[in-house]
Amino acid sequence: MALIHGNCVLFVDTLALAFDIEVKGFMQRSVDSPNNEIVIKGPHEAFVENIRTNTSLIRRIVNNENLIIENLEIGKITKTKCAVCYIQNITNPDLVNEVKYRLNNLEVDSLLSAGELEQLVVDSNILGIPQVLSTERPDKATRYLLRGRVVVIVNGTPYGIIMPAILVDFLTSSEDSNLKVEFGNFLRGLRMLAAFITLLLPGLYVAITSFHQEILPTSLLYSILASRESVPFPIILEILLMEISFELIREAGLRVPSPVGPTIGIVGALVLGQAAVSAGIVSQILIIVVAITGIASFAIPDFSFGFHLRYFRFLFILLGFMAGFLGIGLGLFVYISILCSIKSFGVSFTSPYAPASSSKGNGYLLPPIWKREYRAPFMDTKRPKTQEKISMKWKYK
Amino acid sequence: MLKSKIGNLEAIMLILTIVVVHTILSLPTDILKTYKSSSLLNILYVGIIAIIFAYLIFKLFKNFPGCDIIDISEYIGGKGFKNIVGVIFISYFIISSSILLRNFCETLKIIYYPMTNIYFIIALFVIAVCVANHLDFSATFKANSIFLPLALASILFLFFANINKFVPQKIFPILGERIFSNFCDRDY
Repeated sequence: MALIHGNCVLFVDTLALAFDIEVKGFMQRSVDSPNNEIVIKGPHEAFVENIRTNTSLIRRIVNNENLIIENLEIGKITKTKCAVCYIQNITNPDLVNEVKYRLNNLEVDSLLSAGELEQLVVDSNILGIPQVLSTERPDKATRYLLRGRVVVIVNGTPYGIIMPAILVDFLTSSEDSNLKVEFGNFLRGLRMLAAFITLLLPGLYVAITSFHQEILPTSLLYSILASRESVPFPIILEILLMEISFELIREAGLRVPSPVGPTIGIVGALVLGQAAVSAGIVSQILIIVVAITGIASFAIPDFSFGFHLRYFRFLFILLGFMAGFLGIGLGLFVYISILCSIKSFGVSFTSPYAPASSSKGNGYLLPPIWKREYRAPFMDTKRPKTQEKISMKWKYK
Repeated sequence: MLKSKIGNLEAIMLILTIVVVHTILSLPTDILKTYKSSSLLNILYVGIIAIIFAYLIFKLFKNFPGCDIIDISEYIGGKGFKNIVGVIFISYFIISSSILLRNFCETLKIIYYPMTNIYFIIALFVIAVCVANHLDFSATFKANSIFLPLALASILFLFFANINKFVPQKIFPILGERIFSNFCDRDY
């Protein structure tokens, strides 16, 4: 039967059994460069749909017998293959057991993507905040494996899921470690600013123009008033119109055939924005605010987290319109309280800042590479040290 | 009594939230209005009295490690006394937080929202408090430990930004114009 199905059968002399070896090579996409996590100085390989190729990409980087890849199947009908990867002499065994427990206790008919698995294994779906990290880069997956995380790869999806994930993980990129520490930290600071702008800039604009005009310099206030003079709509309608238009252009750009896609995006944004200003529907300064918000949202490395910020900026726009800085301040308090209440596989989402603990170089800002001696204490790994105190021994010999 | 413990840093941040906001934002103005030139001297007097009381409370609490006032009242007078103290405490918190909320909302209404109904402003705070209470207590003190350093940094920034407006000569006389009559007569 094995031969009929196209398998290879190996007979060994003196053995009373034969080996049925699957050697069929299905047609699959070859390893290509990542589409969504582009870096300048790092590797340019990405996961593909085939699980064996993905696990081999990780194994090529971690040439160590302690890298364990356990296979299991999820889905009563699809029996989708999943691989749970961890480094057994680093990762906390309780974390591994918890991940395997959740995966083995999924009563679903089918599992078709890593995105579905992500929603099935997280502790809660509050505010749509992602609690696991998705990556299409094997080097990023390996970096997190070496930090004591667990990576789950799902057959049929070119994404690996890293768990647990904390807030700072969603604002970091694999590029940061490849650059000098000053540049890496500069980029991280820039991304923090981008997250702030994506979430709050439209709301702050509405709050300032509606309630707190006194904080603007007089000349800027006159510019804003002059640009809004001919606009017949209230500020809230104006900003919602432009924000929704921007989201429509962004979504349409994904669906349009690729030769035309970028052109439609540029034409749509430019023509729509310019035409709207010329028609007196919106003000010029609002176009700038919406454009800066959109550009900032593209600077968020993680797609899910960026989507979450884009989604919640509408709430802050409404709060800013209803109650100015007070509304935004209260909204921010509630938002950060909810972030602080989330736990991802037992790890507080706002670690290591809340609860305050020593990050040992694993906070948001990177220390120099020769100072990255410890793994994150909140991961409670088996092997806390990553390198010796003097890692560059060549300097002192 | 709470089963969950909080770290030392979070506990300090919680206390500082109450102390810093009141001490830096409203207390200096009230003291200066009441005591005028003898403000510094009166702060010294009140500070000494407060330290004595705090020491007394510390010494009394030392005999009941890990207990709060509700547990101590149960130890002293049984469940009945514990219930009475509990009711007094709850009433105190309800009344003082209501007064604080109303005061703050009145100030906001006067400065920023003159056309807005005050109940709308109060409702915003109540919603935020309800959501915060619905979440785990640890979420509140973790959020506080994120906000407070930012608040302190902004206060320091405002202080240094306005430092050229300080007139050091206004501190004198340090002990006020009439040192000994401070206890009897405030109007001068």
